[in-house]
Order: sequence, then C-alpha cells, then structure tokens
Amino acid sequence: MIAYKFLAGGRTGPFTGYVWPERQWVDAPSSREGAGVHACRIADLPFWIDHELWQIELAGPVVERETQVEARRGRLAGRVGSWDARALAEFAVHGALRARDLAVLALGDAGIRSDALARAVTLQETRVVLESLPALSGVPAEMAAYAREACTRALDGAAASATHMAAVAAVALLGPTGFAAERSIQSRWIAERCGL
Amino acid sequence: MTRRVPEELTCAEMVRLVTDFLEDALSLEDRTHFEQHLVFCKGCAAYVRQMRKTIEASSALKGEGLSAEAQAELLRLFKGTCK
Repeated sequence: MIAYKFLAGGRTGPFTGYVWPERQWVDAPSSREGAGVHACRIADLPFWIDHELWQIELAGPVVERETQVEARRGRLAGRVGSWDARALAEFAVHGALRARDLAVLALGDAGIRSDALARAVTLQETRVVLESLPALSGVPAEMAAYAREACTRALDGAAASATHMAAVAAVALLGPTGFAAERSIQSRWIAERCGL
Repeated sequence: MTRRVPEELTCAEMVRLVTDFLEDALSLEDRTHFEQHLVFCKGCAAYVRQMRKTIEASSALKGEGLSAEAQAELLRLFKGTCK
C-alpha cells in the first residue's frame, strides 16, 4: 500500500524522535497494536500536519483506523517536494480564511451585514475587520472569535492550529458533522496543492 | 468556551495524561487523541518537550549527592502537594 507520512524536519518522527532512513525498510519495534508504522491516507493528512511530507510504502498487514493506517513495515519512498514552507503557510491562510467564511455565514444567518469581512483579502485585513465588528453574542460572537483566533495563528505560521480552528468553527456552525466536513475540505486542498 | 469536538482532549486533560503518554501506557485511542492534540497545540507540544527534558535531566541525578536534610525537606514538600 502507498500512503503518506508527515515528519518533522530531517525526516524525524514528531512523537518518537526516530529519524527515518530514506528508501530503507523499517520494521515496527513490536507487533503490539499501536506500535506499528503509522501513515496517512489522503483524508487523514489534515490531522497530522508537519514540515515534511513523504510518500511511504507499507507492507505486512495494514490496519485502517479513523485517522491513520498502521502497518508492520514501512519505507520512505520519496519526499513530496511540493509540500514545503510556502505550502505550509498557504495551508494556514486557507484555514484562517475558511474560518472567516464560516463567520460570514453565521453573521448572515443572524441578519448582520458583513460585506467588508467577506471581501477581506489578507489575514491582517480580515483580523482588523473582525476586531471592528459591533458587539456580538451567541453563535455569531463565537464564530467571529474562532475566525480571529485562526487569523492570529495563521499569521504566527501555525498551520495545524489555524486549520484545526476552522474545523472547530465548522462544528459550532454546522453541528457535529462539521468537523469531518471541514477536514475533508482541507485534505482536498492538500491533495490539489501537492498534486497527490 | 465549551468543548466543541467531544472526542478531543482539552489542554487540562493533556496535562493529566502526560505521564501515561511518556510511559507508553495510554490506550491506542487516547494516544491517538493525545498526539493529534500535540499537532495543533503549540503549548502542549512545548509542555511535553519540557517533561521529556526534565525526565532526561533528573535521571542523571544520583541520590547519594543529596543531604539527609534536603531529602527530608523534599519529601515534606512532596507530601504537601499530594494532600
């Protein structure tokens, strides 16, 4: 099976600190459930964002779970070069502007005009408009807060955080199904941006 | 703010679970949620890094270097925090 794996800089596992060799098979340290080689299907990618994205070949029994797959062996097949610092920054902007779009919907539902917010192009501009909104309450207030926070995190370069905020905002507006729906939008964005 | 995504861990829950995480004692489900939280929460990621460093540094300490008075004082303080 061919899947994907996010790693920190230098092919480093973000939780184990293990430095993955390139193009060499790596066996799981034990056969215990959860101790295998973890990887992502395209739909899983937004949950595991990091600096490097690799294509990984998996072998042995592959167990598919909700947000990842696990195998007995894995081999980094090649780095996805299109996932770089610029892609990471663009993904952060995508998350923040999605949170902004959801806030615009919430404000519209509440009968509050938000043309300036919908038209804002940059994160700085979006944040200024959000901060100049009249006093809000209920869902519109919550949505504006999520959008503002997502902008702040994106401006800070925290792509995983900004996009997570968008997914949480989707729950606030759309209910429990909103989270998976927003993560699905994000995984499609990554796939298109990186040509996966 | 209420928790919008029920299966996600809060930062307070992360603090409570960090020892189990570092000792690889979490269930697979909890570990997955724990790791996902680390991806998007810089604060908790920093906390886990600090805990790892602390364990690394303290494991190099030798018990015999501690005076009896200091040991008694540390035990007294530790008992005080565990009430």
